[in-house]
Amino acid sequence: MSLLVRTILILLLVASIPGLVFVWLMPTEFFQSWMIERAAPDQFSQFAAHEQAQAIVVLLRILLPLIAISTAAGFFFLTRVTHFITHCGHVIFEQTLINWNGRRDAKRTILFRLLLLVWFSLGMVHFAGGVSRRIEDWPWYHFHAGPSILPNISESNRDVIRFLKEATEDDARILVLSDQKLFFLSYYLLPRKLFHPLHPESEFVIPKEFQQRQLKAYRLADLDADYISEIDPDYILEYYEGTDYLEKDRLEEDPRWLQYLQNRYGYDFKPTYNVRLRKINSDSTKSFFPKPEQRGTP
Amino acid sequence: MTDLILILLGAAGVWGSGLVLAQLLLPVSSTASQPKSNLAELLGLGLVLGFGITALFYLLWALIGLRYSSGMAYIWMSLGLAGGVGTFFVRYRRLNQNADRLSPTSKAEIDFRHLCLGLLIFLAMTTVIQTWMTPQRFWDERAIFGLKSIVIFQESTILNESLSHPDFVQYHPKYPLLIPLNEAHFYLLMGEVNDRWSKIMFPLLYVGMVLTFLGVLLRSTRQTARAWLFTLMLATVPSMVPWEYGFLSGQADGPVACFHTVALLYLWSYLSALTRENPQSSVLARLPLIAGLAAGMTIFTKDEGIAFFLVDLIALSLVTVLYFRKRLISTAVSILQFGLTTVIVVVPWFIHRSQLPSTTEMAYFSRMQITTLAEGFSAFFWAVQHLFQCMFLEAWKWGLQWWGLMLSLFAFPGKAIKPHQLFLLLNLLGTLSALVIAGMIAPTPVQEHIGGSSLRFLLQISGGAILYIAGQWICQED
Repeated sequence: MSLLVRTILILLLVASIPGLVFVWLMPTEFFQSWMIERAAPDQFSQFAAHEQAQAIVVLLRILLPLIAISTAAGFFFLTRVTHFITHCGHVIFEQTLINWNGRRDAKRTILFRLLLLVWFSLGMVHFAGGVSRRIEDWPWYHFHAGPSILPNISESNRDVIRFLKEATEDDARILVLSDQKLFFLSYYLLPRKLFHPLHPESEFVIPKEFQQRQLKAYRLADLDADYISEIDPDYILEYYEGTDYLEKDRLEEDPRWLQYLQNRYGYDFKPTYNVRLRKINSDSTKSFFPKPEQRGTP
Repeated sequence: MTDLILILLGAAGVWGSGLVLAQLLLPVSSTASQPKSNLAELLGLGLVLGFGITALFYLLWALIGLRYSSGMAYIWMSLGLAGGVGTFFVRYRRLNQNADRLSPTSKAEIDFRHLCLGLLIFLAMTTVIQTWMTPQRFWDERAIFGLKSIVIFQESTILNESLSHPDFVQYHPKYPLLIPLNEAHFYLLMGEVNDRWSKIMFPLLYVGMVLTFLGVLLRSTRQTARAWLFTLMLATVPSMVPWEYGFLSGQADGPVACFHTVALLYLWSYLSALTRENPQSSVLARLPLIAGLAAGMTIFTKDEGIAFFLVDLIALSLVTVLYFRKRLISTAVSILQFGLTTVIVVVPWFIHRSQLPSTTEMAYFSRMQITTLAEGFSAFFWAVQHLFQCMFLEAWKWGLQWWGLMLSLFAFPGKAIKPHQLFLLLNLLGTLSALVIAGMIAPTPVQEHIGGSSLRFLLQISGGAILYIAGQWICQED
């Protein structure tokens, strides 16, 4: 047993010492260039490779010295380590022997050991998969909080959130008319309060990305004055992306939205969906009241 | 850095408050031969109950008309820290005094215990780090729970206009507040919203569940090494960790798995104790109480908890009728104790919930009609087939717990019908049936409803499956 432990320790040392010297001496840029060369040529893959290389280097710069120190300690306490491993092996062997009706039960013993072996092997594979996934995710998340990176939402949602953060006060009440579920907008725009009269036919509909599923929605003309007064909004936002509600002739109606997009993406940029934000003061609600026959209570 | 220190202190405070409650609740053995609770059980249950009572404290604080403030959060944290440290040292001294009675029999076993403990600590630490490597980013964690927690923090109360308005943009206004209130506690300590640090509660609930599992198994068997092995099995169920919808995320499914598993553990332990020749009365009295608290916290985490509670009651009643007819009254009293504890825990929440809007509510109970069930009958076959695929055919992705359960069942068929094991089996069947029925009556297509949530639901009941496997292989004969 002692020989086996010694061999394993030597192998660990052979792998960890040169490894840690290499990852500590070589600059991070060396690893980044290596990974970028092997990544797909598009902008996202290049960026991901650059950041993932950094994550891997940091991980290895922590992990390899730990392995080396543990291995060195293993040599120092070789007898104790050997006893420890022998004891653990002995307990596992003994505890996985199944007795049934006072006799050793070979079939159940094999079944139990097989279950444990497959279980923990799968556990190790999944653990490695988890670490790999965290490295894959690192470029996008780092250690940032959600509001600073707006993760896992559409680009259009991100633009609308950034626009509203610029265009409205922190404590604003915003009535939104939209053919989307707006939970993420609400989450990232707090403490602004978003109110969205949900069309009954959309209540239990799960949206799909890129507007693949058109949700029923209210238009401003569908709301009555009492409802709007009850919400008492500081702003009304109309935000439609789906074909059923898109008004192509009104894409550039809101000058602030247009300006926001052009500042961000260049002066040739043309919006592809409707965003219209209007500030409401106490008198202005009457100016867009719909005709009486169009009114309804959501 | 300050935020990190505050989060760690806040978590320690939550843990401390739970330790005080756990110390009060856990049965103390009067004789050396009686099974006794251990440090693992105290620490695990303390962690689990800590998050539960912190949320209940915040709920009651708001319901009596008081507002949240950073000062109040600091006082709660300080009380928890003081109480926790005191409890820990009292218990540690008692453990030292009883060291001879509690120590394992051989040096080999101590080494094996150290190995398992090292692995558990490693798993716990990597789970915390992995959790913090992502902010809240999934649908439920932001649309349901995270959003409420930020509103509660910013409005300093749960009684605010936003959460009570039917058109305020939030998903499931009637969803329970255990997670949002705990997150709000951390935001109050930090004085700002940071949806990454507030995720600390999820890996800690994983640690709490694993430690409680270990503690209960150690209390239930003399095969301590096997108790450690099964605990490691629970800690390595892939759908719990590292699957990103499990304990690594701010979704409610991990916490539900934790509270539900703890409720099952104590009901299982109660039924095991009941089958012994001379069960200690204090043990029989306290285990249903702890199970009731955990079941109440499951309901206060997510609505699935209601179904789990009903299934627990039905399974307990069936097992009682089948096995404990001679002690029908005393067992019925224990079931009542379990049920009443749960009801007491959730009553304040349900009073508040009745005033909340029902936008996007599925309203399962009112849909539970013959006509709705008949209309959804075609969904039945799809749901069963889908569950079979997730549980068995995709086991390499989500874990071997269902294969393990079937193997264990057929390996020891005689043991499978012992009261505590039959209870778990009925429980698992009952909860799976509840999922299928929910798919049949929900107002959304079954492929989207069950198809999108079945894996998370199976995660919630996986702890029960591991307990069943452990119960089959831990036996008196060995």
